[in-house]
Parts: sequence; C-alpha cells; structure tokens
Amino acid sequence: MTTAAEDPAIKASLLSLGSEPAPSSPARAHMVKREIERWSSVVAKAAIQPA
Amino acid sequence: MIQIGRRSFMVGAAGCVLAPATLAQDRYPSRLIQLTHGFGAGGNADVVSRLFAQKMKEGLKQPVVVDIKSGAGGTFASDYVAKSKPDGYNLVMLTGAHTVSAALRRSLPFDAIRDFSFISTVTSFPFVIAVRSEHPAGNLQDLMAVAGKTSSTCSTRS
Repeated sequence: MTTAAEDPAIKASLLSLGSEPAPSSPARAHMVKREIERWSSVVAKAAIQPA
Repeated sequence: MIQIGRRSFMVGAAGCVLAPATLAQDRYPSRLIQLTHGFGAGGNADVVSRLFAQKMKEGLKQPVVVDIKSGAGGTFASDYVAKSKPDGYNLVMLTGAHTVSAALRRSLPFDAIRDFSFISTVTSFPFVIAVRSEHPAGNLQDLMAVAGKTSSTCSTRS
C-alpha cells in the first residue's frame, strides 16, 4: 500500500483529484477510535439526534 | 469556498491476524483480492480504489477487483467486509464516513473498530463547503447566520 502511494503516477493522479498521498502503515485502530470520539463530540455539541 | 478540514481514505480488512500456519499453507496472496468501497462509480472513493487496485495487482501478482456496494454512507460495504472471511482477501476502502457513521448512528451492524484490521491510510483530501458565487455568505459564520435567519430550509448536496 505504501509502495503504491509512493508511485509517481499514483501520486500525480491523486494530486489531480485534489487528494494528497498519505500512507501510514500500519494504520492504527487508535486513529479510528480518536476520529469516532471527535465526531461523537461534534454530534453531541450540535445536539444531533443519532439516526 | 470554505475549506473545513481534511479527511482520509484508509484500507481495512475483516478483523484478523493471519496466523503463520495459515500463511505457510497458503502463501498470501494466492488468488483474487476484492477491494470493496461503498460509494458511487466514478466518485473519489472509486477512483482512488481503482488507482490502488491497479498498483496492488502489479505488486502482489494477483488480480485486485474493485467492488462497489454503495449506500448508507459506506455502511453496506463496511458491513460486507466486516462479515467476510477474515483471510485478507476482502478489503474495504474506508472513508471518513466510517467514523462519522459510528458517531452518528444509534447502532451499526458491525463494530467500527473491533471488526476491522486497519492496514494503511492511503490519501487525504479536503472537505469544502461551497455556496454559489452571488450568495451573501463569505465564510462559515456568515452562512450559519443566514441559515439561522431564513425561514426556509437550508439544503445541502454532496
């Protein structure tokens, strides 16, 4: 996955889409957990009712 | 146009650690790999998945097929892979929607963390809120003020 992200052609294609290659291997579960906590906080602060 | 942050694409697999015994019997990968995502054909998730599938195919010497199971903000795709055999042949291209859904949904048919092995982030991209050029809002604060004043609803598209 990292090799693919570092490939010049892939990099160029991603950049043309407005995306930037951001490989991190391995992606750790704590990053996902942190994001869920972050969005849970947003949902609570905005008083959004969970569907 | 107001940029509000960057989100990531990440590749995950059904939660598993490939046991050495399994690897010895069946050197990975020995057959087709399916890379699922939960968004529309031609969209950002689809294009990124296809770019990586092509490169993975070259590196792994096995076919990597992109499979679309769109709907429910990617939940169908995540659920499919969460319930697939945890052998490394069913991957999912997750987006930020994976964590937003976990925060926003009262319940999901899978555990957004425990049911996956997170392999790698692959790319990050900006999320932008935009209004038409003649709209009075020039920033997010203006937009919220306009939305708060108007009696009509504020519609969004993504």
